[in-house]
Amino acid sequence: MLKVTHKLFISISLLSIVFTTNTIASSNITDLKITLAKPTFVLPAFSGPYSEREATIAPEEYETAERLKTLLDNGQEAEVLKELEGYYDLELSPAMLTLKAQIYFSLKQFTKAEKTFLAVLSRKPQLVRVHRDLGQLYLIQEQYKLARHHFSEAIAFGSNDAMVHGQLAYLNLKLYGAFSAITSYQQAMALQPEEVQWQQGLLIALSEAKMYESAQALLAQLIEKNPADKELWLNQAVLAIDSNNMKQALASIEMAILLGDDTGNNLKTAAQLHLQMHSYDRALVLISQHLDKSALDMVMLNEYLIWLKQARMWQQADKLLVNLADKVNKMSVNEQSIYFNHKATIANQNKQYQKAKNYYQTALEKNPTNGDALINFAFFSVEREDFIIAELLFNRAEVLPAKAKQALLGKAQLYLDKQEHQAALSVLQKAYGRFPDLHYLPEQMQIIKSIIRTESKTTS
Amino acid sequence: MKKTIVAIIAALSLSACQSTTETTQTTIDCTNDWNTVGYEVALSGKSVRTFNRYEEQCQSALTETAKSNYLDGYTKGIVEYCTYEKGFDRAESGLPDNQICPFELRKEFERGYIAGGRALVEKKDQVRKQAELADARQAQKSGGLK
Repeated sequence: MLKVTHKLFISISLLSIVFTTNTIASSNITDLKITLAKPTFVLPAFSGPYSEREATIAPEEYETAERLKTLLDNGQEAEVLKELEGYYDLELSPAMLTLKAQIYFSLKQFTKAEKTFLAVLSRKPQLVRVHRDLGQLYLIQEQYKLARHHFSEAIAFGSNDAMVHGQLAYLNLKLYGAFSAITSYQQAMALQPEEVQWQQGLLIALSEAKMYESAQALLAQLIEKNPADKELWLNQAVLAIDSNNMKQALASIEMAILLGDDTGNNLKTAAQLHLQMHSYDRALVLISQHLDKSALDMVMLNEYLIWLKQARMWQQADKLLVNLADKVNKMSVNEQSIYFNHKATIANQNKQYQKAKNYYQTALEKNPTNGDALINFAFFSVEREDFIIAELLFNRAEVLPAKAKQALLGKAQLYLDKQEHQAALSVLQKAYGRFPDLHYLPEQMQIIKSIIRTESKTTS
Repeated sequence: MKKTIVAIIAALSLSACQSTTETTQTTIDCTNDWNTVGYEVALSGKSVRTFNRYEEQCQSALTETAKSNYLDGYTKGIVEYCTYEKGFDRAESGLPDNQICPFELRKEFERGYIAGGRALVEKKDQVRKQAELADARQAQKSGGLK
């Protein structure tokens, strides 16, 4: 009677380890990820000097400007540059100097373009267009703080250009978070309501700022206008997940998939959501679709198999592995070992014990240090009362740091099953020495000691 | 009387010509502080292209940073130079508009230059009237003696 109670104690402890593993796996399930397109910006094409409003050319430059305009119209930018470089910068009006900077920019001579733009601004700091161009120059050079400074200067000096507002918003989002971006994106959208990049940016900013209602309202409007835009559906899925509305999230991702989205992460998230909602058949279709589409990723496969096992979908898990059988030879030996370990677990579940044993052996032949296979095979052997093999497997697993705790506790349980209390005590002492976080062990060791004392009294 | 007027105007004009000739013939120390040189060139109302002559004179003796230092100094100097007062002084001295002010700084300088030009005309007019008066007195004196 006493012995049974002790055994129960240890069993509960071991179960707690298994439970912890499952909890981690479960928490992975809730970690849903959807891949969205990143907010973007588009650089406008070089548009020449004559569209500017803020700077005028000097009267004596009119003739030259007309000639240069003709050259520019013919795409002879280098010729124009040659002529402008014949002047000292101070001899050129800020307008002509701006043209020179713009040509450097369009010819990708960024250092010269930056220097020349700055020279213009040192003479006329309020030139909105120059701030805008310089901001764009810094933006493509990924000097975001400088870019942001010049876009904000452009706005401070009265720019009402959607591009400037949108780019400032993009940089604010990048540098200072969502709240600082919302107003600028709204301003850009007010000026260019149909521009996708502002819509997308505002949506992201609103979502990141957790202003879900506003984001949802904007999204609903956009979806109504563009029902075939899968990105919008994905955005809606993200919002739904953030608002913990999993049904809507799933419906939205499914819509995106229907519209042709086959991004791995999104297929995976859809499968996860289906599993959570017990629509297993669809989950399996999505998992298969994902696995067929991508190069075989064992981490991903492992994750899927763990989900299916948690849902006790052994048959489906087996089907998944059967479908991958063709790819096994192309796997590395380590991957093959993982594959056979899963096959063994499923065979065991299906009570095909000989098959399971063969699969475990194959898994360990492929990779003798596959900790999962060692532990699973050891427990399998304990269940089959093949204690010698089990002990051997636990010993092998014990040297793997990631599996040492499980191996020591498994071995202790094995000795208790065999009523080898002294050996069990010694293993538990070793386990507690290595893993002091196993705070329940001292009490159990105490009980085992008292059993040993009782046994020795009985035998003497 | 005409001789007196011509002599005064010639004297006014000659002072301007002399100063121009003086500056253009200056030789330069190629190891100069080019920032200061630029600054002084601008303040003296000379063109930014003055540096071309320094380049010709110094050639390889010029350091890599000479030109940019010169331009930095010149840029600073030209902002101080291109004012109403300098324009006024230049015109009042009878010097031609040197047209060295950058477009955005030109307005005030030109306003001063026009005002200075008017002042010069008035000055010349005054001188002419004084000369005429002196001539008239001289003629009166000579007639009385007769």
